[in-house]
Amino acid sequence: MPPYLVYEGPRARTRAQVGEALESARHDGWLIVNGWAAPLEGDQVICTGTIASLDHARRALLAAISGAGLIIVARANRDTVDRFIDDLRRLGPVQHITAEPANRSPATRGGACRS
Amino acid sequence: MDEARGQSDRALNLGRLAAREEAPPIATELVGRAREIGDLQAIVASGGAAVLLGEAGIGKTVLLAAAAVGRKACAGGAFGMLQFVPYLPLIRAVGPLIDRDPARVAVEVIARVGAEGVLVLDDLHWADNATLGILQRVVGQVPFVSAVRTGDAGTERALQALRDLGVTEVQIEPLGDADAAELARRWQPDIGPLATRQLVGRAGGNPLLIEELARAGVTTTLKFAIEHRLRSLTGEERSILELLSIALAPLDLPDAGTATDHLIRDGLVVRSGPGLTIRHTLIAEVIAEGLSERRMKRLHREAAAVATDPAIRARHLLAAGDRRAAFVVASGAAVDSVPGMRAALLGLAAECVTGAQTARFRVEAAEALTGADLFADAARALGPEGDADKGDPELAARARSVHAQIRWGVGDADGALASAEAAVALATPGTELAARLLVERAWVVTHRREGVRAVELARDALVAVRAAGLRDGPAQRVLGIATSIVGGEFDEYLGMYEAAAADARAAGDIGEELSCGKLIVATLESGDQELGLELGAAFVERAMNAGMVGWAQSIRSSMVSLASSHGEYERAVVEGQALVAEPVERRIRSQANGFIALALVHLGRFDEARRQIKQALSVAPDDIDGRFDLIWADAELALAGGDPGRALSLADDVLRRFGDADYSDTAFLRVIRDWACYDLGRAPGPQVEHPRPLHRQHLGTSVERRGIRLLATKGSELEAAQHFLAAAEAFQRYHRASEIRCRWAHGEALRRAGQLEAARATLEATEAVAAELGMLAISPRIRRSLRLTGARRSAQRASSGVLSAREREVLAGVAAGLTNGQIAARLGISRPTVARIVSNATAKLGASSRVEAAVAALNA
Repeated sequence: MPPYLVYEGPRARTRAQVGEALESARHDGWLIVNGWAAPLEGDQVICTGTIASLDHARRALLAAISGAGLIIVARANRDTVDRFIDDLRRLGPVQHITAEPANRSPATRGGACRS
Repeated sequence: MDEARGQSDRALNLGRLAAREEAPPIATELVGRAREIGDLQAIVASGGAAVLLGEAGIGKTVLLAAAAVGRKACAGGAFGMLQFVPYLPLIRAVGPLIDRDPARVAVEVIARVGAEGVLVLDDLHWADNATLGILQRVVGQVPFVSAVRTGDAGTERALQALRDLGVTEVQIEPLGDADAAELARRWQPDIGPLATRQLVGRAGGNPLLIEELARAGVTTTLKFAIEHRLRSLTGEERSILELLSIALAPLDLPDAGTATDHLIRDGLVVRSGPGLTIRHTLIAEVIAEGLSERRMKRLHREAAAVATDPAIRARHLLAAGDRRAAFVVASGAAVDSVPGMRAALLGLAAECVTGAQTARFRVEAAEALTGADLFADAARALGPEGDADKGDPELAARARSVHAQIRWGVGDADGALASAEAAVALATPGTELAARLLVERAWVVTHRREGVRAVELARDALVAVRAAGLRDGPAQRVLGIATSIVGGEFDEYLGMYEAAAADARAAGDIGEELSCGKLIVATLESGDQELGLELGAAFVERAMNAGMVGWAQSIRSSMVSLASSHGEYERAVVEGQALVAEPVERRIRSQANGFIALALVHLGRFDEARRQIKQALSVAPDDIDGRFDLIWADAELALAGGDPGRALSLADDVLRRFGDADYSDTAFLRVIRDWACYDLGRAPGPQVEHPRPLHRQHLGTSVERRGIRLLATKGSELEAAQHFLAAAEAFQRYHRASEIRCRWAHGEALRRAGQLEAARATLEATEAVAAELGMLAISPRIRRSLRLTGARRSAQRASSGVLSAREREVLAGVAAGLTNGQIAARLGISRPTVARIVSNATAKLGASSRVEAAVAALNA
């Protein structure tokens, strides 16, 4: 199963994270392709790039459907990124790495206390 | 977009999209979906067609895979972003298409799927029109299963196309609470009952949310996914969800119309009585988190306007910032409410009160709340200690007294005593208040297990209240507890409780009456246990009718212990687990956890007991009252689990720390200690007796311990046997687990004395009783002793009559050659649960393997 890694966050940070992920993928024998060119059959290809628009998202998705893994930075609007990840999950587990976790306790609901 | 279209065409023309002839890997143990899987597989087997309908994350995809198990699955699906690609779901299912003409596409699809295969199309709400159009040529020609997500813009279009073809609709409902809890435990095996309940409520029965919450909590990704789902709502739908997201109880919205119907249809909102509520509290949390403070306040005002319950209305008004209105609603409603609700409303009003009477009002509210056994609420109503010390010593004394109870409730025994002493010091001697505070101080000392001093203080308090002309019921109650812990006469202290209860009932003081009721129930553990359970149920009902949930829970906790002592271990576990899954005061939780763990140990469910003890110890108060039952259970677990060294160490530690406390149950720990020494082949040392006369329930311990010492002494086995028999008879009415252990020891002593026939008869009779009680923990000892008597044992000897219906079902699966995973999938339960059931059933039947157990169950 090819990997699907989607990074969001400040540029410097995501650049470093993507760099590390690509290095690791190369080490594992994946062929890294900049952009969204679909792989030839049998290739172990990971497409990498930045999704800045709906068109980029669609092209990346098509590459993934064709068998490529993805290591990408998402910079499109929220709706596009969420739809993209929703679609990508149809193909396999997606690692979505964001700037910060959002763990909260259930007690925060509604901002009021129990009766 | 054009580039994407071009790319898609190239991809399709190049034929790089391989057909998936294998269904995606599926969880073989789908929880709670046995019926749906059965229905789908039947449809597929008959060549029919079905569509699964349900919300995102409800498990449609894995169900599709399960439906296709055992057949060649041509599986594909649509994508939300790629609806412009014609036939994409079909291409993913069967591979590149030679032609785009609908008739020829249909022929190709039918040929590639074949009669033995199954066409699986997921996410048809996103499908292009060409794909939907092909279905009319394919459905009926090959088996077909598909899925459509509710709440999407394309849902109706896809459903209409499928309905026109007569495709069977299978609605995928959220998991029920039990299945949801089972799934949560699978991802987080150590999760506690309260956390499970919270997680289940947050996830609203959605398997994906359960998995995500159990694995990683609320991640940003999960939050984004939820917000993405909400983005498709209309403004009106979103407003309704926002209102419900801050609601503290289901809201009956008078103007609810089409928007509400849509939210219900899409599974976001459910009806609860006459009101509406958001199904997944997690979604409510995400929505509420995104609200501005101003918007939040406005919504709370709206909720207050439609809330019918005054407590809820007052809470919303308080959250809206309108303290005065909240106070008026809460204090006004308190007047006509049942006692428990009155206490809650007064507590709420105390949080809102402003002005000169604030301190007095807060103290009075907190007193009402402690009277209802609600210490955490009392702490909130009262505020920090010292706030009431504003020049009014009487009020300050009352506040300190309440603080003493609160501190006790949260596990601070030393702080409780300090506050109680401070309260007494502040009151003017000889006044009614001083007398009342003396009772409270005696109560704290009593609960600290300082028996002799407690008796003295309780007697002084009784004299003081009588001198002050006050009702003496509360003082009698405290004196009764003190008398009990120093080993006084059973009838004497039970009589005091009954007198105190009668006094409280005559005065209409329901809180005091329930307090006595709890003591009566707990005391009857050394008396008529069935009467105790009966009275307990009546007191619980009375507490609930009075709205005193805290007292109801406290009494239920005593009933769990009582049920366990009575030998009703399954009942103790079930009722105990239900109790600790509720929000419960800390001490009640700790005790109940201890009682549950003990029952689990006796049932032989060691792993569950271990988890229960570990979780509970991490949050238990650090005094004997808070920890004893848990450590006791842990020591029993170690002894029964074959680790006498650990049992000995636990017993020694707790006896070193608490041995001098007036806590009668330490007598049981002394027995564990002696058996651990026996198992280790060590001399247990001189028999140190309990410092006080023992309660009836513990009377057998002294005789049993003498028996253990005799058993370890060569030539004294017959004398040991007599001791164990006497101990068993002493325990019989009051502590079944000890009774059964002593009966086994009686048989073992007879065996060692060479009286094999008598030993065998005793041991077989004991085995039968233990099996009837479900006491698996003692079974290995009994079986070993029986073997050593020369008894010929086989699995067929035991009757399968002791098996539960579920155990018989699982063993039938074993007999059919199924693996645990297959049995789990068939019965809709988890693999670990199957393993546990097999293990229990094997032990019950005395079989040496699962296969032997299955054969025994079949032959019985």
